Amino acid sequence: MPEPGRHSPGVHRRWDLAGLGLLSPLLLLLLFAFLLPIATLIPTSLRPYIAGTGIGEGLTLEHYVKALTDGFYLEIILRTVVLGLVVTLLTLVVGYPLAYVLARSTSRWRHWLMLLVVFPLLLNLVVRTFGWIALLARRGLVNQWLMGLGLTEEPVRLMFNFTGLLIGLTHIFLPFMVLVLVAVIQNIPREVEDAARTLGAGFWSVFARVTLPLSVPGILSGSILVFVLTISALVTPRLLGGPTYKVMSTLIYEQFLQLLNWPAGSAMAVVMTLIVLALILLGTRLARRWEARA
Amino acid sequence: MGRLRYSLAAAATAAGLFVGSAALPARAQELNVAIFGGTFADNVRTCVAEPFQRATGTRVNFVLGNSVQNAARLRATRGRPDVDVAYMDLQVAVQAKNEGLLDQVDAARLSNLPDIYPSAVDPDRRWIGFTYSSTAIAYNPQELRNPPQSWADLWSPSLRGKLAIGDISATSGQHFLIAAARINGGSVENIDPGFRAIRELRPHVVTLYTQADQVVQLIERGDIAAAVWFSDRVGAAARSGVPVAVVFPREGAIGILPTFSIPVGARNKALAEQYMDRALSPEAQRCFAERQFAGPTNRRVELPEELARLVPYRESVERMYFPPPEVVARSLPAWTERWNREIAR
Amino acid sequence: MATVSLRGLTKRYGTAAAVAGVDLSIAEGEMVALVGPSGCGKTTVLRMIAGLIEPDAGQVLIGGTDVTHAPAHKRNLGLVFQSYALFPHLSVFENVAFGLRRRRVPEAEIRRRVPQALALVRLEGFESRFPRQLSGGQQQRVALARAVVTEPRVLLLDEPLSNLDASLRDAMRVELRRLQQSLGITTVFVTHDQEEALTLSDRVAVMRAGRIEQVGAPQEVYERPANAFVAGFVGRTNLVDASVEGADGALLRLSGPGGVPLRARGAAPPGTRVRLALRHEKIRLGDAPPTGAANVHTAEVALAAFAGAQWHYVLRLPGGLELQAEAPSDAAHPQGAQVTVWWTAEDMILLPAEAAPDA
Repeated sequence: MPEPGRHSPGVHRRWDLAGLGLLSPLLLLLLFAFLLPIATLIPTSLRPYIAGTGIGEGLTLEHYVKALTDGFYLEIILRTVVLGLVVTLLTLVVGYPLAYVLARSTSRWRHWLMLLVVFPLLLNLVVRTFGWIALLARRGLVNQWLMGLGLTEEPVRLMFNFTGLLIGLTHIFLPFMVLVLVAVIQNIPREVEDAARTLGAGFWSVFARVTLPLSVPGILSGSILVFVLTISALVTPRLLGGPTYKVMSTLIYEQFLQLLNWPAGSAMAVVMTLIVLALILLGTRLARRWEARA
Repeated sequence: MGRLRYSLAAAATAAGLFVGSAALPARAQELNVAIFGGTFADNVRTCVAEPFQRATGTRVNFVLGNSVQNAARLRATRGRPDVDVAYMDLQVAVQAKNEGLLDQVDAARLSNLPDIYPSAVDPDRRWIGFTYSSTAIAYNPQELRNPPQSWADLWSPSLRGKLAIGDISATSGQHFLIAAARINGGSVENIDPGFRAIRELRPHVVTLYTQADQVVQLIERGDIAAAVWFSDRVGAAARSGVPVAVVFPREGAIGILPTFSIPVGARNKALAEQYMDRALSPEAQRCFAERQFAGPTNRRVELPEELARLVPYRESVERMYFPPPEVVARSLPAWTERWNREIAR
Repeated sequence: MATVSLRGLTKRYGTAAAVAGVDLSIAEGEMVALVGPSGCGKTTVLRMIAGLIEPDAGQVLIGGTDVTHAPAHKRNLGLVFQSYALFPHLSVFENVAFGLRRRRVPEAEIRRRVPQALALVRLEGFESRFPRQLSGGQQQRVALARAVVTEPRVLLLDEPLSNLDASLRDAMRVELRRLQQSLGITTVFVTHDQEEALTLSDRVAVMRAGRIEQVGAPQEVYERPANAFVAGFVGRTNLVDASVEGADGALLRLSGPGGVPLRARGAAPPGTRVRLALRHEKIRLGDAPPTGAANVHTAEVALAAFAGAQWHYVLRLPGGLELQAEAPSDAAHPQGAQVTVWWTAEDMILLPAEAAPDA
C-alpha cells in the first residue's frame, strides 16, 4: 500500500491529464485556426524572393529591414496606425451618445434605433462600400449637394484619401463600438446614478463622475475591437482608398496577390500582427489596472 | 514544403486576403477550372464549357480569380492542385512555369494545336494562348469629336482631368507604362522614360483603376472622356449600351495573351487536355471572338468583316507589340514599387 | 432639518395609478415609516420626494417650499438605496466625500467631515477600501454615512435593512434609530416589514394600492387599526365576521361564526354585519378569567407550535370558529387539550364594514 502522501500527486497528475484530454479538441482547434497560420508566416517571411522565378532558398531579414526602414513603408505603417486611432476615436465619440440613448431609453423607438444601428451589419460589406462610393465619388451625391448649395465650385475629393477611408470605416465599425458600449452601459445600475443625483450631481456631473468612469472597461474593449478591425480591414480600403491611398492591409494584399511576393507580404503581416498584439496587451493591461482600482 | 505552402494559403485567408472560393473536391467526371470572372467566364461557359459538358458528360466547375490569384492558388497547392486547368495572362503563366507549377501538354492529344499561331504556344507546351486581346484607347464618342489616334495624343491638354488609366496592378497599367516608355525612346528594358512621361500625365488622370469594370461606371457617370482600356471590354460595354468606342493607337496596341495551362499533379490531366482542345477548336474560338470581342488564336477561324475591325485578327495581330513576358515578370516588382512611390500618391 | 408635506401626490404609469393622491405631513426631526405590501406605491412616493420621479399631480413641500419640480440634485436630501448603490469605482472615502465635493466644500473640511461620518456608522479606518471589499452591512453603513455627511434636510431610506441577514438587521435597526435621534434628522423610510416600521418610527403610514390607509403612532395603528387591511397588515390578527344582536350599555352583543356569542365595545344597530379584529396575543389561555371578563370560552387546542419565547396555538371554539393565539412558553398546552380561553370586550376591535383585505 503506498502512503497517501505519495499517492496523491499521481492522482493529481492523472486528473490533469484527463482535463487536458477533455480540452484537447478545443486546444487543437484554437492552435490550428489561430496560431498555425501566424506561425507559418514567420518562416516564409525570412525567405528571399526572386521576381519572375519565385521564392528562393536560404534565410534573409531583407523584408523586415525594408518594411521598417524604407520611408514609403514607414509612412504606410504610420498612416495605418493613425487611421486606426482616428476611426476608433470617431466611433467612440459618435457611438457613445448613441449607446447611452439605446441603453437608457425606455421609449418604444429604442428598438427601431437599435435596428438602425445594427442594420449595416446585415448588409454585405461590398454593398455598403459601394453605397459610400456612390455618395463620395467626384460626381457623387455629396459633391452634388455641396455644389448645388454653392458651397464649392469644384467637386471635393472625398475618395481615395484619408477622408474617404475615415468615413467608410467609421460607418462600418460603428455598430461594433455601439453594441459593446450598450452592453456595458446597461450594466451600470441606475440606482448608482440616482445616488449621485441625490448627492447633488447634475446630469453632466453624473455622466462625468459615474457613468463614464464605469463605462471605461467597455470603452477599452470596444476601442481595441474597432482598432484591430480597422487596421486589418481590406475590402473597404481597397475600394475607397484605391491604388493611390494604400494602408498596410492593401499593401500586404498587393504583395501576396499581385506580385506573388509572399515573403515580403508575410513580413509585413507579421509586423501588423505585432502591432495588434502590442495594442491588445496594452489595452488589457490598462483594463486590468482600472479594474484593480475599482 | 507542400504542407507549409498549403497552410500558408490558410494564413493568407486568415489575414483577410481573398484567395477565391474553395473548389469542391473533384469527383469522377468533374473538371475544375480556375478562370477570370465577369463576361470572360460567362462566354467561356457558353462557348467551351457547355458544349464540352454536353459532349463528354463532364461537369465543369469554375473557380473565379484573376491571373495572379490563379497563380497563387497553384503555388499554394503545389503538386496537389485543386484545379485541372488554370487561366493566366502570359507574363503570369511564364512566372508559374518558372516556378515549376505547369505541366507539359501532350501535343498528340490536342488535334487543334497545329492551327494555333506558333507565337501563342509555349515552345515547352506548358501554356497555350487561348485568345488575343489588347490594351488600347477607349473613348466616349459623345464627348470627344476628335478622339486620340495615338498613345501620344493622350498627353494633349484637351484631356486634362478626363482620363483614366490602369493602376500598375492591372495589366493595362503595366502595358501603358511600356507603351509610354516605347514612344519616348525607352523600352521594356529601359522603363525610365515611361515613368517620366506618366508622371507628366498625372494631372490628366482622374483615377487609377484597379478593376476593369470601374471604367464602365466612370464613363457612364461622365467622370472621364477617355481611358486606357482593354479592347475586348470596349466591345462588350458598347454592346450593352455604354457610350464607348475603341482606337487601336498608331504606335501599336499592346498585345494581351490570355493562356491556359494544366498544373503539375492535376487529377484529370487527360480530361483537361480534352477541354483545351475543345477551347482551341474553330467553333469555340469563333463563338468566343463574337461574344467577347477577342481575337482567335486559331488561324483557321473566319470572322465577319465588321467584327474583324474590332478585334485583334490576322494582320492586326502581327502589328501588336507583345512585351517579352520573362522581362515583364522579372521587372514587375521593381516597377510596382516605383509606381507606388512616383505615380500612385 | 425640515418638514415634509405631500399634497395629493399622484403618479400614473399608463392607466394604472401607482400613487393615487397621497397626503402626508411630517414634522421636523420626525421619523416616519411608509409601510405596505410590495407594489403599494411606497417606493414611488419616496422617489418623488427625492426628485427621481416627477409626479403627475400634487405637490412636494420641503421646509415649506414647493420643490415638486426641482431637480433631485438641488433638493439637498440624503437617500439610502435598498441596493446601497455605492460607487464601485471610488474608495469608501471618495464615496462619502462625493456629496461634499459636489457642494465645493473645501478639501480640509472634507478631510475632517468624512472620518466623522464614518465614525458615526462605526467604520473608522475603512477610508481606503473599495465597496467590493466590504460586507453587506458595511456597505450599508457607508451608504448611510454618504447620505448624512452633507447634513441633508431630510433623510430618505428605501428598505434600508431588507438586504441584511436577520441578526445584522436587528443590530442595524438599533443603530439606525440611534443615529437618527442623535442627528435629529427628519427621516422617511420605506419598508414592507411592519415590525420594522413599528419599532423604528415615530409614526407609521400604512399604504395600499397607491393610497395611505392610516397614519398614526405605532401603538395607535396597532391598537386602533382604521380598517381590516391595516388590522391584518400590522401585527398578527384574527378577523372575525359577526352580526349585532343587541347592546348592553356600551357593550355590543354579537353572534360570531357557528353562533359563538361575542362581546365587544362599540355601537351598532342590531342586525348589522360587522368585522372584528382580535390580536393573537390578546387571547389568554388556561388561567382563571377575572370576573367580568366579557368573552370566556372553552376551546380545543387544534395545533400547538413552539416558537421560542412563545407558543403559537390554533384554537377551535364550539361551533367551529378557529382563532390563532400566542402565549408565553412557560405554560404549554398540548395539542388536543381542552382549555379555557378569554379576552376582554376592549380586545375586540370593531372595524368599519368593508370587503375582506386581499392581502
